[in-house]
Amino acid sequence: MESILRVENVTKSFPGVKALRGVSLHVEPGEVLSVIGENGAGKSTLMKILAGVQGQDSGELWWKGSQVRFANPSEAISAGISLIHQELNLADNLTVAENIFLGREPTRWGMIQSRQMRQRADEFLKRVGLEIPSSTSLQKLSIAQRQMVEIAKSLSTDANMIIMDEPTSSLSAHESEKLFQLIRQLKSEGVSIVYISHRLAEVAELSDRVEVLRDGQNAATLQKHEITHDRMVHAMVGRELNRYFPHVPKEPGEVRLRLKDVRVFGRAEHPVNIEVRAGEIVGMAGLVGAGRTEVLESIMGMRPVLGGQIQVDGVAIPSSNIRTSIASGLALVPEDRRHTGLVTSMSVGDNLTLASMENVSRYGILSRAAEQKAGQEQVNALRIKTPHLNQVSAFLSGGNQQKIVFGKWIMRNPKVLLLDEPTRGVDIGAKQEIYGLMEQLAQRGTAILFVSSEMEEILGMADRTYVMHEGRVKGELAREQMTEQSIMQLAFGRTEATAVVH
Amino acid sequence: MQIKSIGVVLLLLAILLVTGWLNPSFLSDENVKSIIRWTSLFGFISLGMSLVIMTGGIDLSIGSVIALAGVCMLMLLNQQHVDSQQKTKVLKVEKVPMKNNQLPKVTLGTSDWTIRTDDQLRFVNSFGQPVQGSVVSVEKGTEGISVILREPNANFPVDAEVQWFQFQHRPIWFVIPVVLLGSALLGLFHGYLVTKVGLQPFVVTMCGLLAYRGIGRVLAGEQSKGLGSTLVTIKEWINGVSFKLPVPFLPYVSQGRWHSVLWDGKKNEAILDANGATQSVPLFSWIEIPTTAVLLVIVAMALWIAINRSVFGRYLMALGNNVQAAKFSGIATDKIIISTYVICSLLAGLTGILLVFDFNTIEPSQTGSIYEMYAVAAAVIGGCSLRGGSGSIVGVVFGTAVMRSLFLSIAALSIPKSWEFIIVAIALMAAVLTDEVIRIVGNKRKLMAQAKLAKSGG
Repeated sequence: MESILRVENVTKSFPGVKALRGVSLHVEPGEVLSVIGENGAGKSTLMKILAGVQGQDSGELWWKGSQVRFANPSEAISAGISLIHQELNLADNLTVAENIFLGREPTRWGMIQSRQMRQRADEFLKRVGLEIPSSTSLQKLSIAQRQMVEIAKSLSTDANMIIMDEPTSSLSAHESEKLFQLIRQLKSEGVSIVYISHRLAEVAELSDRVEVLRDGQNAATLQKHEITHDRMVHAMVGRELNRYFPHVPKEPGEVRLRLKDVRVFGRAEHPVNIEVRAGEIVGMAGLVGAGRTEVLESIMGMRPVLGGQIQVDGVAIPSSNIRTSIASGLALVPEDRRHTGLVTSMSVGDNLTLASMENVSRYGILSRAAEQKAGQEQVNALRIKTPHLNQVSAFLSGGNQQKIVFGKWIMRNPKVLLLDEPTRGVDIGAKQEIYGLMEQLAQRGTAILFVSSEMEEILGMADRTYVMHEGRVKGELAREQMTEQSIMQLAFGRTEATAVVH
Repeated sequence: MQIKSIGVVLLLLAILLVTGWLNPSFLSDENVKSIIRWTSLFGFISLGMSLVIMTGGIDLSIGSVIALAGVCMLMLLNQQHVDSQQKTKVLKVEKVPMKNNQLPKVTLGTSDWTIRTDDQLRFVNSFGQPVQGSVVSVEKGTEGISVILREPNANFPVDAEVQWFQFQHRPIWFVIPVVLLGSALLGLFHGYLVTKVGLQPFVVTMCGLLAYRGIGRVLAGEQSKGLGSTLVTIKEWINGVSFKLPVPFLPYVSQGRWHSVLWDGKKNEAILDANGATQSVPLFSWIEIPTTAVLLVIVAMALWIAINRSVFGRYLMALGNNVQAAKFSGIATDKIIISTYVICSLLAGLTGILLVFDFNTIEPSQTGSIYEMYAVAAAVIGGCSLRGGSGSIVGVVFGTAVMRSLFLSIAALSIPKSWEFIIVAIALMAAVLTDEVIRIVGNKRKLMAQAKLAKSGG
């Protein structure tokens, strides 16, 4: 059978950088092709060219047997190519049906035929297995449901090929599984899927073929039977990652952080009890929405605590006050780097010192020399790739931005470091550096509690793991008890004999 | 200095030179002084506004705070003339030269009155109306007390009986701090509503805009209030010259010489005075700098340090850009935001006080009206973004100067006053557009640098 899409030797340059240096690939009808690569490997650029967002400098696109060049996204859509962005492009204030047909509303005499629109939307919702009326307002939907709406929208444009960019980045494992079912169903209906993800486990599970990009070139094509974690990592990085997880379990010290019957606002019915010892790296697993972020934010004083006690080194700290929490030696690297972690329009140096002003100022007046010194120290220690401290942090890659947020807190030498999805949206090289950093801090005696939705990360890095389910700590697993299965069982609310159940 | 601020300085120079080219007297010593004076008066509110704008807020109440502060200041001063119940005779009336004027000097038939400046004397004789005079200065002579009166044209009868009215007011060192404190409290109120209650700055301060002017009008009973001819000393100290600043080449421009040299090519032609002698053009103009300007420079310097060199400024910029990230970094964002509203209202109150001394009267329904818009305009020209998180103190001061120069140059070029707002609007739009273009070009460059970095960094 002829390929539905062939990309031949496509190049694309931006001022100063060659994003694509001759990439070729093909997509068969009814196939799931995963495209993987580190950040900056050229995945996004390639997808934007396929979806008509950008044009290529040279090279050819063949779509259904004829050469094409899309001038804009709507040309690509009408040809049958649909791109679902990582950040969904839906309007919160409209209904599901209105979103599906946005810009393509069925009209008569210029009036929108609402009933007809709803009926057709319902059909597409049924096809993607979303059992809600299409008149529902979008804002009532979960992220996973919105994803489904996006796919329904793609189907409504008669897409033959759907490009999904990191579709599971904000989905729980359960929701992801539903998405995978839908993808398999679409596949059986003859729709081709181009799947982009950093999560290698799901890539392995889902793909018929994997195309690996590195530095704007094809690094490898893996056929179904060749798709293994190691081969993908190897092709992406171009070198062996012999110690992907550098964690060495060791004897933990005194309890540094203790939560005694803490009642988290919004989930007050389940008191939370947690302990983290000096030098210990403790994971927090669970589905998205299980209340893990809420626990971390409560510890930091970012949301009200309705009862119980939070102790740092045995001393109770006042709740609901970020500043006293920080002063007591707590630090949080939040999940959403760009909104809560960094002031992206400020420089690297200013961000690094933002939480340590008392160390670089006297009588409220800043000392440039002290700032420079403190900032440079972190840049060197964390190997933050920046031309200078005055670089605006928005221009750094995700991994380097995350390192800035780490650096900001490491500068304070925290007793307890809370991490919320520390490697989200970070490429594999930076991921490994972050793991190394966690290990280093633990060895210095920092107690680390980290929330992660990536199973490998939990299994690889944690000495111990708490698993949360619907607002309660469902169980606690020691390193030797931790398996993908034992964690998932607790995460889905089932208790397991081997686990210490709370 | 940021590149943006240099742009504003160039814009100011352009306005001054173009107007000066078309009408050389625009850059006369007197007019340059006037530009500085107006810039100083409007500079404080622009600075205050720019701080609030840096947090992403806005303060629309400034103009009304000015009016209210002015009214309150005058009411607190509570100036009055109290009858001392003492009378005496006039011995002598003569005219003495004083301040380019012939002022009446009256010698009184008593030596134990403790007359002071601003006291009033009422001259009553059997014929006609009583005549009043207010005291400029007092001399104690051998024959009695001589007072010089302010009224050059009044006829003070020699044979009249003189009644003495003592001028009384609350001390100025009490009134000014109270007015400033009151203004600061208004700012505290705004800041509290914005941060703790979570109201929108626009709404909060728009209510302030309406309420404070209303209160001012009620307190003043719709009457204009003024200093009259009292408190002359302090008035002169504030509006008067604190020192003279030499400005090179200015005489060359203001006397129109550059015209003949640059335009008409009469390089070697000397300018002759009325007697046919060659007039030499001095190299420097000595511009008189009013105390207000010195005060503005002090305030601007303090704020410059606060914004660029202090923890406060760093926090302000951080929260202006991303209030969530600032909170997550442990910054007491509410305190910082509240303090900007306090500073803004405080500076508006200060402006109210300075306007009382400069304008002499406060019209409760008029004074300070739409000044908040001038302040926003100056802040925006000076490089503040209404999205918050950016701005420069130096830029704002020069932005104020740009605004004032525009208004003055419109007058100097005899453009009808009705065109004023249109021209200012066009200039403002042009400034903002230029800035946007520069920003886009700059971003492109940064992107290129970033791309290069990505390439070399791998």
